Amino acid sequence: MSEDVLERGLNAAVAVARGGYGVAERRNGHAMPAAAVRSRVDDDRARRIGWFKSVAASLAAKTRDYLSGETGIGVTEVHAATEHVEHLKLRDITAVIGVGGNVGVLVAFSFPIGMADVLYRQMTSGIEVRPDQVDDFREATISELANVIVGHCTADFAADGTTVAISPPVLVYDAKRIHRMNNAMFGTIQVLTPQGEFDIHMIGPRGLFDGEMNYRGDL
Amino acid sequence: MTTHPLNVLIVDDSMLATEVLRNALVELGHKVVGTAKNGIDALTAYRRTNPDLVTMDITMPGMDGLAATRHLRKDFPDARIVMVTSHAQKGMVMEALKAGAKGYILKPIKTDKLREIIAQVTEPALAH
Repeated sequence: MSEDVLERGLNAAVAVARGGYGVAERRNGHAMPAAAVRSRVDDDRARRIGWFKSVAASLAAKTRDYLSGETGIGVTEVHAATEHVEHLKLRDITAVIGVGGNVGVLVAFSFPIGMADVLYRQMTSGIEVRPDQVDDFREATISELANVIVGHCTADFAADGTTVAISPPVLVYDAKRIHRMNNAMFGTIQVLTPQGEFDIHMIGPRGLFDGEMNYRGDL
Repeated sequence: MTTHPLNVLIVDDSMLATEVLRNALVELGHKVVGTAKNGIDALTAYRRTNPDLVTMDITMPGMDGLAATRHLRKDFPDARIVMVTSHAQKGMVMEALKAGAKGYILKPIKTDKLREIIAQVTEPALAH
């Protein structure tokens, strides 16, 4: 779905939320029955949910591959929710990556510190880490994990031949809850392993939140 | 098989990826002569170290790896640059090659893959 389509859908959603028809009429320059606007909003919402599901499936598969190949950690269960998610819970350390192109979402890998430590130990085996570098390497582990998984997902995201850019990871340390605001769409994947669990959150549209998951306001 | 030790510049904003690459390159008998965390630093480091090979990440803050590759190839047409990146999309491979990269390998970094791509990129030059 292009950003243009997404934006049109969101504008239509705003129109309906505000009593609809009149706002849509002024924006588009011609009259449109309220039922048609609602229908278009419903269609757009269905498309967005479908898109979220495909993004979630790609993230889950690539996460499973990465953990198994790089750390030897098997994923025992994955629980994905792509509808009716009203808040997201960030754990101790979270790596946030912006995905551009047609995708337009933020993806956040959120770990309790214990799981981050497990991954850090696995991924730095063979590297000499001085005691004063442990925190830096733990952060680098989380960032690189997020970067590689999302990077691999771009092969799925760009299947239509477009190029999808991703941002460098930004780390967020606050364990906090993020509540869904007006137009935002949330999705979350809970990844369970024998060594612990973590979450992968999806937030769209990307522009509603900054890189540290702070709400920026309505489009 | 590449027999000559190469002087290599690693460009990557991740200290983990940099160290994994360093270990792999040393294991293959090469020497890491410099590291840089973004494209701008890479241009400076290249002038300072004059490496035989550059490993270049794509997603970095500031100047990304594609822009840095274009700049390097403009200033140093013989620069041998291999992209080492997480981007798995074909479009990005094409963009990297268009920018002047000689090779492209996907993270996570594996020594065997690195050996192979270094051989592909350097053997024609070393044969002369």
